[in-house]
Amino acid sequence: MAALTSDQAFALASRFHDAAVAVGNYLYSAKGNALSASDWNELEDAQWSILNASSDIRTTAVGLVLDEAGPSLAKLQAYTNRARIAIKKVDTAKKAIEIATSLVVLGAAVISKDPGAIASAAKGVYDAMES
Amino acid sequence: MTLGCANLTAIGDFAATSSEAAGYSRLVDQYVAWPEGEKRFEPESHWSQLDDLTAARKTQRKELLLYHTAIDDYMDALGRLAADALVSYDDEIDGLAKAVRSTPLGTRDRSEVAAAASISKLLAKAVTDAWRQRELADLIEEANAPLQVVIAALKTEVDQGFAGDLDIEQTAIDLHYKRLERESHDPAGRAAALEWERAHRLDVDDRRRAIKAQSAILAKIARAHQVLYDQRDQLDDKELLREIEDYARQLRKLQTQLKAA
Repeated sequence: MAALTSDQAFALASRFHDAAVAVGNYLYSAKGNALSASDWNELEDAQWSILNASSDIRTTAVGLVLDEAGPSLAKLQAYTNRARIAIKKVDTAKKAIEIATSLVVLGAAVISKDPGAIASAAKGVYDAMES
Repeated sequence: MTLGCANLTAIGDFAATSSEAAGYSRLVDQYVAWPEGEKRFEPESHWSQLDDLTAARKTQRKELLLYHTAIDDYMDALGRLAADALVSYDDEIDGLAKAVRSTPLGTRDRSEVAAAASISKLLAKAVTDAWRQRELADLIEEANAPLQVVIAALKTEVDQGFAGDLDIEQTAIDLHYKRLERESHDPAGRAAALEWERAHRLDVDDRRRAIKAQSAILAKIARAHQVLYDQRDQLDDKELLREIEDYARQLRKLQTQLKAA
């Protein structure tokens, strides 16, 4: 599989940015107001991590080579995008935190450029949305 | 066509303006310093993430300066040959290219670094062989392909990396001030925060204007050089020189916008 180009890294980073915005929108909505302080803080923490992952991916993910056996770039983008949509729709704090946290793990995996960690983290995002 | 003593002032003007515009690397410094500034909006618990980003960008800085320097030095040589003067070149590009190759960004696209290095080789040849105006077409012909690669690489960073920072910063400002508003119950404090938020947003708008100007400058330089390349066999054609003069005028205007932002 070819190494990620600047354009591809930027496209993936944009998905993370949009996901961070979605978490922020959740936090400052009626649903967010109903959260306990600890749930609110946990989600806010995830929001900043996802936002920073976006900057990190844009800066460092150029050249990342994804494992043939692991998720493709298209799949990573699709999962991140689906997670963003899911955060808008979730009803429970637990679910919102699960999805946001799974994105934090995926962002860290992409930045680490570890194909194994990326595959496992991508599955984590999928599981968080589907469970 | 044989050149030797033609009046190619328009090409000289274009080269000088392009050299000056390419030498303007303040946005690179802003890009490297950006994560540090982002700390104003983010909780301290996330600062280590921003420190890591700063470290990565300090490494990337050499690569960005390499592109700036390659365009700057090349345009300087172009202007000298257009004025029938000797090229002066201190192989700064080579030094930067070597530095970039030895950084941990080992997986970045090497073809862009190679393109910058080939411009360096060409300039060294122009010095060694004492090129003058009669070799101007040769310089343009040999430089065009790598120059287009280098300009495109820098433009990508400007359009995506630099502009992407501002998208993130806009979001960070939004989240930061929403949090302050949520926590603050003091109307005076809220009003003050609103003023700060407005100031930060204006600052982002200014920098966005500078980035747009820089991007447009790079696009114009690339386009104008392509025009020179396409008509390299008739560089003293009056119509061509008028077109290049117009590019130089547009570049000066954009440069004013860049510096004013």
